[in-house]
Amino acid sequence: MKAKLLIGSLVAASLIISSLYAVNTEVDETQLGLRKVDIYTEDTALPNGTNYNKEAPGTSKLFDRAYTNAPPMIPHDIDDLGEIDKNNNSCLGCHMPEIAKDMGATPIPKSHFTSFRPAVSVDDDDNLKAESDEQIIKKDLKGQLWQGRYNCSACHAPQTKGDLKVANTFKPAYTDKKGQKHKNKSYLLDELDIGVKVGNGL
Amino acid sequence: MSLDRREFLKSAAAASAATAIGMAVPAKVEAAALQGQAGWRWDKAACRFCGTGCGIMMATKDDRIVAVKGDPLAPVNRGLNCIKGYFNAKIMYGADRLTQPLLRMNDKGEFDKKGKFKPISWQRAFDEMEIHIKSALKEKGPTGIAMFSSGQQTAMEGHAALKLMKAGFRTNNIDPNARLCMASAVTGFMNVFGADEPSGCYEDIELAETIVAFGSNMAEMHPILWSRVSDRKLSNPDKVQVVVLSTYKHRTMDLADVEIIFKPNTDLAIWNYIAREIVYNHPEAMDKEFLDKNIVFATGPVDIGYGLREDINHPKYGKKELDTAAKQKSKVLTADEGVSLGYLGYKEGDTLEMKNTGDANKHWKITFEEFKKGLAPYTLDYVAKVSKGDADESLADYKAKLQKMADLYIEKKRKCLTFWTMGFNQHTRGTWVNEQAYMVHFLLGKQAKPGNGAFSLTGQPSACGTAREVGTFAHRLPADMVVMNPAHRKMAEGIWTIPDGTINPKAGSHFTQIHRDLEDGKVKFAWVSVCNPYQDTGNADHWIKAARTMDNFIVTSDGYPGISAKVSDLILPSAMMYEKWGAYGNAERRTQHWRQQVTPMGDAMSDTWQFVELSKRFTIKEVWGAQKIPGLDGGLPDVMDKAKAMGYKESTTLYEVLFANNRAKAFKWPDPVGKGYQNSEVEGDKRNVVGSDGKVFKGYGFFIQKYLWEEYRKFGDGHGHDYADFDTYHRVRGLKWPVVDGKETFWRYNAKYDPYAKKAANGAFAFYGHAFKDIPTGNLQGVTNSAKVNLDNKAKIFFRPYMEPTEVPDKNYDIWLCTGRVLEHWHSGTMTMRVPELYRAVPEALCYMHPSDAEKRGVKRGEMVWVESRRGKVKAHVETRGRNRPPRGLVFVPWFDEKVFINKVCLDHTCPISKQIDHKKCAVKIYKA
Repeated sequence: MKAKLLIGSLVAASLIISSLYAVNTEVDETQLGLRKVDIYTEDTALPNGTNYNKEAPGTSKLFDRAYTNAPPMIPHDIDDLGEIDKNNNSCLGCHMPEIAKDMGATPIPKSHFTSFRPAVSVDDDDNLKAESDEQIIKKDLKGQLWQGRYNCSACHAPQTKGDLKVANTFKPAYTDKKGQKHKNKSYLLDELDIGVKVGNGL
Repeated sequence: MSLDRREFLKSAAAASAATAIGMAVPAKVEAAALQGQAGWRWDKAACRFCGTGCGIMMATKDDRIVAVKGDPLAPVNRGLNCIKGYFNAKIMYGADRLTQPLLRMNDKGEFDKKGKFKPISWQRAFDEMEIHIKSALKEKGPTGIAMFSSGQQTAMEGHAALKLMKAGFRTNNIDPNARLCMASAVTGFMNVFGADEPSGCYEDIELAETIVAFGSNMAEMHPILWSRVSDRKLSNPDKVQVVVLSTYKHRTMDLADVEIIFKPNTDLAIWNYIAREIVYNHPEAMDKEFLDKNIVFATGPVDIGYGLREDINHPKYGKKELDTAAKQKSKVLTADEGVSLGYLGYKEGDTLEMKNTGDANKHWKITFEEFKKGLAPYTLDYVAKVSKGDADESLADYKAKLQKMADLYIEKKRKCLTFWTMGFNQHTRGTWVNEQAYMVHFLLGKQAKPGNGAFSLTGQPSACGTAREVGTFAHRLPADMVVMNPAHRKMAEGIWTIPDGTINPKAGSHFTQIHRDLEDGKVKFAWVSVCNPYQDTGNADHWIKAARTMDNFIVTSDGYPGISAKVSDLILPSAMMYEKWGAYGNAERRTQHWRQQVTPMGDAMSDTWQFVELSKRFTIKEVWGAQKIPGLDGGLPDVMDKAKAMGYKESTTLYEVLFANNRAKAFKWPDPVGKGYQNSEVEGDKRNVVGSDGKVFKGYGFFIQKYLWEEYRKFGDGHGHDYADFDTYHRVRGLKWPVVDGKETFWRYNAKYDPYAKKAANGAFAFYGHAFKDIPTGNLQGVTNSAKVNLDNKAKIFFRPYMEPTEVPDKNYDIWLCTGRVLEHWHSGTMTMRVPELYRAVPEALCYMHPSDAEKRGVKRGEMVWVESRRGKVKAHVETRGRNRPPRGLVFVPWFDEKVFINKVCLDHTCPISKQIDHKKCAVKIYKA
């Protein structure tokens, strides 16, 4: 019984190894990892290169979300939109919900128009006053973007074309109820609470 | 239809003010939605990446991670993550996960330094480690072995590694990659407060009115903290003023009211300018009562070198390296330094002999009048001339900005918060510039109060929680204790139940020194744990060659084959973040624990398991006899008689002493806190991994992580480093230590908030740290009375002068190189380059440069250049716009990309006090490839 288990795990292990390295017996260090050339000279090394999508906003195909409610990646060219600064945020020009539909843009979801942070303040004697720290806070900002989400690039990025250097075996899950919709829409605000208190002794 | 953005911002601010006191919505579980996630298990965890320490919710299904969301209960991030945080979901699923130990072997199946990697069993892996450690110990003693540890190890892993190295092998050669990111912050804290880690907490952000990011690109490196700053700023656009200082323009600057581009290293001069403004021109702004009661002034020597090798003609130096190497012994002072070091009698053109390289941190008390004299040269005219970093900016405009910044600090009652990270820490005067931040805040009485403080941000997720608090440094023990202090050693020996005299009193080699020791043949065995020292250390060509050409044995434990794995002799497959139980500690002293979420891949096992299994291979007789230590008279004593008196036998293994003792076995498994969760170390798992003895590993049978935590927290209990018990952390979203009577501490040293400050009965504040609190007295020039004065409960304000960096652009190497990170990639990219979305977002490290610098060299955006220094060269594509916009004369190249191996170009100079490497400045030339 024990021997069978042992052999089983060895077979499984060797299968994994062979699938990973495509070599059963030995690997040279140059076959390992992301840089498959000599690391002791730079003459043969070449950077990967960047080739972002050049399609104009509104004309490109959306990327599926990486998993349920994951932030979407940017499918269109942003090269000429400029950096986000305190006076200019080109993303909002098309992605604010009231505009997005006409522009064919993904609307910024409800979660971004909600603040989850309890307010804090201090009095003149440095006494801290804070809202409850133990509950899920959802302040509806009535259509105004929560300013902590003003830096769109903190979560959303353009994507280069071409092959990955290493595949990724992650398999996403999407909330079944809304099926396919979850692949290109956020329902985070509706689903935020799920599981947050379960299994945490709270 | 098009929205006027200014109008939008204004209305957003009004709306957010109106809803400032919103309604707390009670949490409810939506049954319908739950059905849509049938079979998913959500649990809380900590983010794997930066020192912000965000909470995430992680969903698993069928033993795989399937989704992540921001934890709405986590006080740090309240339901929001950054792009890396969201992709925690994918970091363990790169297709080339290491799943078996790999050893370099010849055709006969023997270890061969020149061989190729072949899969071996865990048993064979430990056989090889045992052979090579025993051989290194026999030849060199305890200093012949070393571990590169990490600010990304869990607290328990760090504790296990520390015990194995310091209590077991009696070597202090264990040093974390946190040395490269936080050491200057630590020495700053130790010198100023006498204790490590910040006084403030993140609530400061929502309370501050002036927010300064000085040497910190928070928008990319601490995006969630920057989100909080953005909310604070944009919701109060007039009241809240943001000042950003850097050597190049970046995303953080895009939100600033005042943008200051300064010349590398002149941050030292800028701080002194602000201090001079306060002391000379706004003395009324000083909090005299606070200063009299709580502060002493101090200074130290300047002839301390640049942390390079003491042998300036070291045989391993290449010819081109020698002129920079020589600065360790002496340097000719520039015109700017002639002014700043005038108080020591120097002038331009004088040679400064570096006489205090061996005692760089000595310092002495001076009077306020002496401190004031030291600041005299730092007029607006001098500092503006020295520090202006953008040749295209007018001096008048630049001066106005410096003045504005000083005003924003000085204004009475204006709450000021200063953040910094690598800009200050990776600095050949990193300790000094950290001290200077506190200097300005202390002068104004704006420290350790809500909304007020100089706040050192941490780079790594547990640089604080593990590297610093557990103390996986060459000189440290847990809870701010050090191996050089006999009382500290005694306490550690007591808690670890090992004989008196076991712990080596001589500090070991720091991170960069371990590389140098390997190159010099002094270290023969090195173990890389949860870090990537062969990609992350400047002057890398030396270190990768030393790994492959010297007679040594390098082991790398990792999830993926990065550069360090490639240059190793043995590669061990490690369980990653969510494949094990763990705890991290973030930059606001918040400790957060998580449970094992899934079974590890292949035969990967946790680093804790690897340390513990190795400990089975050594009896105490093999390591606790008399040992020679270079530089330690008499060496280490034989402690076997004492060990026997404690009940140990010659045949007792380190495993039995350090890990499987009776105290450990008292932590039973199963435990209610683990109900419904697995624990691969404790009970084995479904894979039936064949372990170090050739048999299926069935687990230790006791709750080893809980034991390691509970034993570790004894070090700080009652000493200002109190933690809660293990179970508590599984009920809360982290707690900020010290945790006293179940309550966390918001503002340390402030008697209103910190029970230790209250207990000191020293008034409103007590700076109760114990380090460096007995110092001699002197003046700016040196010590005048060597009798030590005691500074209990006081903090120090240091005077530190401006000095220029080790290597400055010249005719041949004519442009500054600065390195750092990008938002989408973590450190060396080992994990994030394997996440499709993150790889595709930033597939390569670019050479960011000014358009006119590119034009001057005949290259266009997107073309390839060589970036070459005295030490090495790499190729990169040029970017002349985008997120980083350097001024003329400086380029920025991030270091995450193995194919743009920029640390080959960087210099291994360090702050002589902290020994932290400076990756932010060296001189390079750029030409078309």
